[in-house]
Amino acid sequence: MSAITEQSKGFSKDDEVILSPTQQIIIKFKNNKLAMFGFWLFVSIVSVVVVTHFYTKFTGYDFSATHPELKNLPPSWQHPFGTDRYGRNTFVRVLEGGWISLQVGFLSTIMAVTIGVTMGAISGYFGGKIDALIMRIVEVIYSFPFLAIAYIISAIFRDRPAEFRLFVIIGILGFIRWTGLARLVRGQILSLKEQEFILAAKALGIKKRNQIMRHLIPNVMAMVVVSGTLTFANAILGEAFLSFLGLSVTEPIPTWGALLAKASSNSTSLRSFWWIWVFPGTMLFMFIMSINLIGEGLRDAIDPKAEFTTKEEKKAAKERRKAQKKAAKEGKLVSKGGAM
Amino acid sequence: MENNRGSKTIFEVITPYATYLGKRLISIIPVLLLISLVIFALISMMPGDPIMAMLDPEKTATMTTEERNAYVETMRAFMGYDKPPVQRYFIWLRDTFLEGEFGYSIRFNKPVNQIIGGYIARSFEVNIIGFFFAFLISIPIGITAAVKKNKLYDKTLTVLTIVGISLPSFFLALLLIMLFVVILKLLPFSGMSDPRGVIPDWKYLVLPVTVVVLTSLPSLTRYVRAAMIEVLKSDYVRTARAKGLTEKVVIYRHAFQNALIPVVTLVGMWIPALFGGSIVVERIFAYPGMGYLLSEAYNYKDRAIIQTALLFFGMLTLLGNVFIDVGYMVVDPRIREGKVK
Amino acid sequence: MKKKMILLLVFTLVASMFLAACAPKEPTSVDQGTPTEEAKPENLRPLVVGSADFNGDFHTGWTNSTYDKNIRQLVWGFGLMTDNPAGEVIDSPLVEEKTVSEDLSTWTFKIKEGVKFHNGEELTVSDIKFTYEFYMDKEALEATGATSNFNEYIDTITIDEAANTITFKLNKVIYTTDSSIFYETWILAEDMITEGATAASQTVQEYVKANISNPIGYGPYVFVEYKESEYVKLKANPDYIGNAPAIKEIIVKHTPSETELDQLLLGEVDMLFALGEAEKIDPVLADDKFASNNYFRHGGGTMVLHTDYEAFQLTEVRQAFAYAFNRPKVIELFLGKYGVASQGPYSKNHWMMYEDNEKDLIGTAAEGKFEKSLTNYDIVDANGKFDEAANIAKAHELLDIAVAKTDGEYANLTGNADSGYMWKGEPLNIKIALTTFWSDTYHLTWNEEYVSKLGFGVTIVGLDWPIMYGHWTGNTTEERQYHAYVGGIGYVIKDNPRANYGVDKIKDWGHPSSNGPRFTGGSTFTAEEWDQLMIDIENTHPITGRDQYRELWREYVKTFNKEVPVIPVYSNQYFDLYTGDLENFSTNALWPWTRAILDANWK
Repeated sequence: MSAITEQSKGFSKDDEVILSPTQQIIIKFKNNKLAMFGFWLFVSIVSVVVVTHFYTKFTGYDFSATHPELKNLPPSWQHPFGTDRYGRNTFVRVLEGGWISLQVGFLSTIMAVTIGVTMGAISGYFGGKIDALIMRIVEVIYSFPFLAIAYIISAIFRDRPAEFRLFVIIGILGFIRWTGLARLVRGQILSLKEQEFILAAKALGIKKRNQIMRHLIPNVMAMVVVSGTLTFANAILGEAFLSFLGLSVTEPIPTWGALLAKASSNSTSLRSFWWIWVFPGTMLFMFIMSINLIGEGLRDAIDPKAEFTTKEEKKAAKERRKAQKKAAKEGKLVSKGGAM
Repeated sequence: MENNRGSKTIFEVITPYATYLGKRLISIIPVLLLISLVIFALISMMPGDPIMAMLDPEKTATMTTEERNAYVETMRAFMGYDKPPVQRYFIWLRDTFLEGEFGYSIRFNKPVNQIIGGYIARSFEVNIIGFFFAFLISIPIGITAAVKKNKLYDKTLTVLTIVGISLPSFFLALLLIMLFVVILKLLPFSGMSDPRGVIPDWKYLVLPVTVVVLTSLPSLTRYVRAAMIEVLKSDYVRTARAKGLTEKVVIYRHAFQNALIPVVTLVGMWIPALFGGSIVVERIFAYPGMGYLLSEAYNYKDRAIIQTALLFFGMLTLLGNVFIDVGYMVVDPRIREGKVK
Repeated sequence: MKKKMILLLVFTLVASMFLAACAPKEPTSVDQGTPTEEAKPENLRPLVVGSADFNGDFHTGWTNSTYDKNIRQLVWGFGLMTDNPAGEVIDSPLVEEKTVSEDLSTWTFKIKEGVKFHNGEELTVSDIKFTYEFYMDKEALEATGATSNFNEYIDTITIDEAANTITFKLNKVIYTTDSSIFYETWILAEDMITEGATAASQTVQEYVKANISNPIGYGPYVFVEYKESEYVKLKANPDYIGNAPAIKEIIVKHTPSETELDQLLLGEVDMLFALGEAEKIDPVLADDKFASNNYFRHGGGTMVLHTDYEAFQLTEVRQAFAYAFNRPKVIELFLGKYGVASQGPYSKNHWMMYEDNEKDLIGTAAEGKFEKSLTNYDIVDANGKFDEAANIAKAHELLDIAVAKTDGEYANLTGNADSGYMWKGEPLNIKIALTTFWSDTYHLTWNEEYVSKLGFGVTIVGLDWPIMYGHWTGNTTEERQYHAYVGGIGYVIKDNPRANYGVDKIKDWGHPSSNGPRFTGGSTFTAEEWDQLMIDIENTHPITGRDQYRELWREYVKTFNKEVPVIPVYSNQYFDLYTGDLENFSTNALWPWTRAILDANWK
C-alpha cells in the first residue's frame, strides 16, 4: 500500500497529469509571451499609479500650485515630463492621472459584468416572457449612442461636485456596457441548459437559484472574464473621451483624457510643447494596450481547441510542423527532380 | 437561386423573406416608442430653461432688457415650451412620425428637418468611403492571417491590431494632423472645401477618412480572421482539400465565400456609425457632419436636434439588427429553413 | 449564391457612395454681375478671415450671433446713423441732413439720392419706412420668432418722397435713443421683399426669415455665397456710396479654435480677430511675416455678486471678498498676460472715465485721474505683485468690522479669522457659479490651499449656461444657493445703467429680474438714492448732454466701486493678427475689422 502511495506522489514529467481547466488556462497564459508582456505592463502601470496616488495624498502634494515662471518647460531632471501651461510638473500629473482611469475602469467593469451576467443568466435560463422582456431592454439600451447618453446624463448632474459626477460617469459606463455581455451569457446558457448535467440537476430538484449560480454561471465565467477585459479597456477609453469633451472631473484633478484634451485645445502648443501630450497619450495607450493583450491572451488560453497547453507540448508542435514542412519540401524537390 | 428551384416564381421565393422582414420591422415599433420615451424623459430632465439657452453669452450682447424679456416669451410660445411635458411628448411623436417635422432648432434658428439632411449626408460620405477602404484592406489581410495562423505574419498582425484598437481616435486624429498637416504640409487642417478654390475638395476628406479607416480596420481584420479560421476548420474545407484542389482555390472559392457571411452582417452593425459620424473626430476636423451637429447641439442645449439625432441613431441601430437577422436568413440555409418553414 | 453575396456587398458599397455623391449640398448664392471696375491683380487676392461658427442669420431681429453681425456689417455698413473709430454716434453716409426738433420728439432725415441696393434697386425713403414698419408689426414679426422694441419709441413715421425726407415722431426720448433706433438698423429692400413675399404668399417677415441667409444690402460688400458651417463669401460692391474698398473679396471661414492659429501661420487664413490668450498671440508676434493690432476690449470678465443673498447682503463682506479675490492670478492663468484689472466698469474705452485732457489715455492700460480715485481691491507689494498676506489681512479687517455690527442682517455674521467666520451659525461659505469656460481658471485661483487661509469657505460649481442663467436672474424654482456668478460683459455703444440697476428691474427671487440681458450687470444691487441718479442719466440729452452724462455716470461708478455689486475681473487686451501682406489696417476696440478693412489694402 505504502509503496503505491509513494509512487503516486512522485510525479515526473513522463506521468500523465490531468490538469484542471483553470490550471490549463494559467499555464497557457503563462506561456504566451505577448500576454505576459501585457500582464507585467498592466501590473507596473497600476502599481506606479497607485503608489503615486497615495504618495501625493500623504505628502499633501498641491496639484493646484501654479508657477508662471516655469511655464511650458521641456523635460529635464527636475521635471522629467516637462511642465504645463501653468508651470506644473507634468510627471506627477501624468502618474496621478491614471488614478481616475483605474477607478472608472474597475468599478464600471464590475458593474457591467454583474448586471450583464445576471440579466443574461436569467434571460437564458427562464426564457419565454422574461427573456423577451430582458432582450427588449437590452435592445433599447443598446440603441443609444454611448457618448450622447453620457452627455445628457452628465448635464443633468452638472451642479454636483466633481467626485459625485465621476461616480455618475462610472454608473453610466457600467450601465450602458452590460448589454453585449448579457447577450453573450444568454447564448451560452441557452446551449448549456440542454446539456446533461443541467438536466440532471433539474431532475435532482436542485433550486433554480443554485442551478444558475452553482452550475451555469461557472461554466460561462471564462468567456465573461475575456469579455470583461474588453469592457475594462472600453470604459477607460470612454472616460478619456468624456474628459476630452470636458464632462469628467475638473481642475486640479488630472486624468489622462483631460491632460490630452488640454494639450490639444491649441494645435500650436501641441506642436511646440510635445511633452504635454506625448506622455499622457503614451500612458493611456500603453495601459489600454496592456489590457487588450491580457484579454487576447486569456481568449487564447480558454480556447479548448488549442493544440497545446504546456511549453513542452508547444515545442513538440513546433517540431512537428517543421518536420512536416521539411517533408513537404523534400517531396516537392523529389517530384521536381523526378520530372527532370 | 431561382434556377435551382425551377418550379418557384420569383414572387414565391421572395415572399418568405418579405414576410419575415415585415414581421421584424413591425417588432421594432414598440422598442422605438420605448426609446423615444426614454429620450424625451432624459431630455426633459436636463436642467435649465431651454429658451435661456438661446441667450448664449456672445449672442445677445446688444439686446436691451425689454428686448430680451419679450424675446424669451415670444420664443417660448413659438417653440411650444409653454405646454406641459406630457402634451409636448405626444406633439413631438405626432410631428416626428406622422408629419416629418422634427421641431425647431435654437442653434440654427430653423426647423430641424431643414438642416439635418445635409449633416447626415456629409457624415455618410466620409464613413462610406472609410468603410469601403477598411473592408478592402481588412479582407485580404484577415484571410492571409487566418491561413498563416500562428506564423510570424499572423502574430505581427495580431500585435498591430491590438495596438490599433488601443489608440483613442482623438489621439490618432491629433497625430495625423501633426504629421500630415503641420510637419509635411500635405493636407489642409479642417473644414470640407476651400473657398478660394486652391485646394481640391478631396484633400479635405483624406484625414477624416483615414481616421475612420484606421479605427475600424483593426476590429474588422480580427473579425475576418476569426471567421476565416472557423471556416478553415470545417469539414467541407477538409473535403475540398482532400479532393486535391489547390490551396488558392480552397481558400478563395470555398472558405472565403463562407467566411464572408458573418462579415457581411457586420455591415448591419455599422449602419448607425455610417450615418452617425463621430463627435470627437468631426469636432477636431471641424467637419460638419452628424457628430459635429450633435456636439454643437449639446453646447447650445438644442433639445430639438438632440432628440431627433438620438431617435435617428436608435432607429438605425434597430434597423441594423433587422439587417443582420434578415441577412443571416438570406445567407445561411439553416436559419432560412428553420425560420421560414 | 456566394457570388451574389459578393455582388451584394459591392453593390451596397457602390450604391452608398453614389448616394453620398448625390447628397444635397446647398450653398445659398445670389447671382451678381461682375464688378465693372478693373482691379489690380494683387488686389484680387481674397482676404480669408478666420471666425467661430455663424448661425447664418444675416438679417437682424432674430438671434444675434456676434459672428453673424460681422457679415451684416459688411453687407449693410450703416443704418441712418453710424459711428466713427472714436466710438461716437454720427449721421451715416445715407443722410444728407438731419433735423431734430427742440423737444427731441421729431427726427427728420433727408436721404441722399442715388444709393443703390446690391440688386440694383434704388434706396428711397419708402424703403426706410418699410423697414421700420417691418419691425414694428409686432404680431407678424413674433410669428417668425423675432422681436423688436421700436414700438416703444416710435409713434409715427411719415415720408415725403418728393423731398426725399423721412420723419420719425417719437414718444419716448432718452440718452440712448439715437443708438438704439437709428444706429445699425439696416434698411431692407422693399420692392424685392414685397414682391417675393407676394409670390410665395407669405408675410414680408416670413419671407425675410425664409431668406435669412441671403442678405441684400447697400454696404461695401456684396453677399455671394454661404456654405453652412463652412464659410461666407463676399465681394466688393462697385456701386458703394463711400470709397470703394481695395480688398475685392472677403471670405469669412469657420475655423475651429483648436487649429486656428496654425491655420494662420500656414496661410490657410489671413486674419484672426479678437484673440486674448497669450499662447495663441505670442507665436504670431514672434513671426515677422505677420502684423498685429492690439487694444483693450470694450468689455471684459466680471464676477457678479448677488447683493440680496445671505452674507453678500453686507457691504463689508462683499468688499472683503473682493480683497481676497486674486484678480492678477485669473489674468495670469486665463489670459497668460494680455489683460488688466480695472477699477471702473471693466472697459478701458469709456470716454466717461477720462478728463478732456486725458484723451490720450483712452484705450490704454493707464489709469486716468478719476479711475485712480477709486478703490483698488488688489493690494500689491513693492514688485507690483498681488500681496496675498496684505489682501487677506484687509479682508479680515473688513469682516471683523461687520461682525462687530449687530443691527439687522449683521447679527447673522459671527466668528473671527482664526476660528472661521460664521453665517447664521454655519461656517461662512461663498458659492460661486460658473460655466466650463472659466472652470480651470477659477478652480486654480480659489484652490484649497489658498481658501484654507481665508477664514471662510469658497465653493466653485460648474453649471451649464441656461441653468446658471436661471439662478442668476432668479428665474428658477430651485433653491437659491449661489452668491456670485462668473461672466463677461460687452458694451453697447451708449451705456444706460438704468437698464440694469433701476429699482423696478429687480424682483423677488423666483421672478426673473429684468436687470440686464445676460452679462451687462445682472447684479441685484439697488439703492434708493440711486434711482433718481439712474433716471437722470437715462434722460440726459442724447446729442448735447455729453458733459452732464459724464458727471452723472461717474457718480454711478463711485457707488458701484464702493458697494461692489460686480467685481471687474479683467479687461482683455485683444489682438487682431493678420498677414504682413495687408497694410493700412487699423482696428481698435470700437472699430472692428469689418469697419477697418474698408481702408486696408494688399501691399
